[in-house]
Amino acid sequence: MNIEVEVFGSQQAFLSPIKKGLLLEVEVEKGTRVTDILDRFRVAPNSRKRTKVNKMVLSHDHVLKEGDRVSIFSPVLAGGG
Amino acid sequence: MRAGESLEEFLSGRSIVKSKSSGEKAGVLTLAATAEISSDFDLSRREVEIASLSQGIIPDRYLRNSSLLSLNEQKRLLESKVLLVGLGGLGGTIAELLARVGIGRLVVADGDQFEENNLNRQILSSEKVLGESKTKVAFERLTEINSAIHIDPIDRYLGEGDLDVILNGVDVAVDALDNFSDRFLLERKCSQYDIPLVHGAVGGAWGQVSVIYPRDPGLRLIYGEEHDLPETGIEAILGNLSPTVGAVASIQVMEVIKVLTGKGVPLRNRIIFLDLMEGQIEVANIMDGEHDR
Repeated sequence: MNIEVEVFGSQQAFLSPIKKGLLLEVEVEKGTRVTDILDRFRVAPNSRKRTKVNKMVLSHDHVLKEGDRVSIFSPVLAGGG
Repeated sequence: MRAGESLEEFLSGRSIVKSKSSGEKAGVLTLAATAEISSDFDLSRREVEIASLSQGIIPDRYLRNSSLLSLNEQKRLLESKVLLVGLGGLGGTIAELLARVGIGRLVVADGDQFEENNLNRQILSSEKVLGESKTKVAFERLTEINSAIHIDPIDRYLGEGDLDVILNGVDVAVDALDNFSDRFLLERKCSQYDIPLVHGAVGGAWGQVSVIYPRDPGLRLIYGEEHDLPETGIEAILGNLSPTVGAVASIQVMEVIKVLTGKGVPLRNRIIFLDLMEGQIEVANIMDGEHDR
C-alpha cells in the first residue's frame, strides 16, 4: 500500500527551499506502524521525532492505512526562558 | 467599617454611567471608588470588585472585557486561582495578560533571575532589573497593573512536595516551563488533584498549545514517552524570538479564560501548531489508541 510522508513544523527550518512542502509517496507493507516509518527518516540533530497522521497526533504503535499522510515534526520544548 | 450606609448602597451611589464598546450604557466603578470603598469597608479591592459585579456594576478596568465576558464570567475570573509555573518568555507575558484580564488570585513560581540575554523576548525583563529575581519583578509589575488581584510569588523551582501544597485550591495550572521532567511532573500532579493544565511551548518561530485535563493522553502523545526524551532539542539551534513567545503566551491565556468561564471550545485533546515562519497555523486532534478515522 502507499502512504504519503511530509516534514512539518519546526523541522522545516532544516530543509533546503527546494525540499519545503515536498510530499513523498512511500510504498509500505500492510501492518506498517508509525514507528516503522519514523525509523526510515532522519530528523535534525538531537530532535524529538513525533508525527501527525491525517492531522491527528497518535501513538506511534498506530497501524497505518492506505493513503494516510504522515507528517513528521519535532515538538518544541522551550518556555521562552 | 462605614456606619449608616450598606456596601450595596455605597456601590450604587459611587457607580457612574459609561458606554460599553457596543454603545450600551453600563454602571461602572472607578479605580478611585474601589480604593475608597475598600478602605471604608475594610475589604480587599478584589472583594469590592466582586461585590460590585454581583450588583451589576462593572469595575471600569474591565469595561472593555464586558462585551465578550458577562458580569458573572468576569466575577468567576476574579474568584479564580491560577498557578503559573515559569516566568521566562511565556510566563512573563502570560502573567501580565492574566493580571490585566482580571484573574483574582495568581500564584507565580520561578527560581531564576533576569539576565541580559532575556531582554529580546521576556516582557518582564528590562535593563534595570538584570540580576533580580523574576518572581520579585513579576510581583511588582503585576501589582502596578492590577492592585485588586492577589499575587503569591514563589521564588524557587517547584518540586513534587511544593506542588502537593501549592496546587490546593488551584482552578487551572499553566505550563510555561522549559524542560521535560518538570512538565511531566506538573502534568502528573495536576492529574492527581483534578486540575486542568494549559500547556505551551516555543522554539524559534514555532510554537504549540494544548489543554490537558486529568487522564487525557496529553504530554505522552505530544512529546513521546518521558524516559525516551533527550533533554536538549531543537530549541538549542532555533533560539527564541519575541513574536513567537507573545503569540503562544496569548493563546495560552485565552485557553485559561475559556476553561475558567466555560466559554468557547478549549483546545482539549487538540493541539494548535504555530509556524510563524511559513505563516501557518494548524490544529490537530490528539487521540490515544486505535480510532476509526
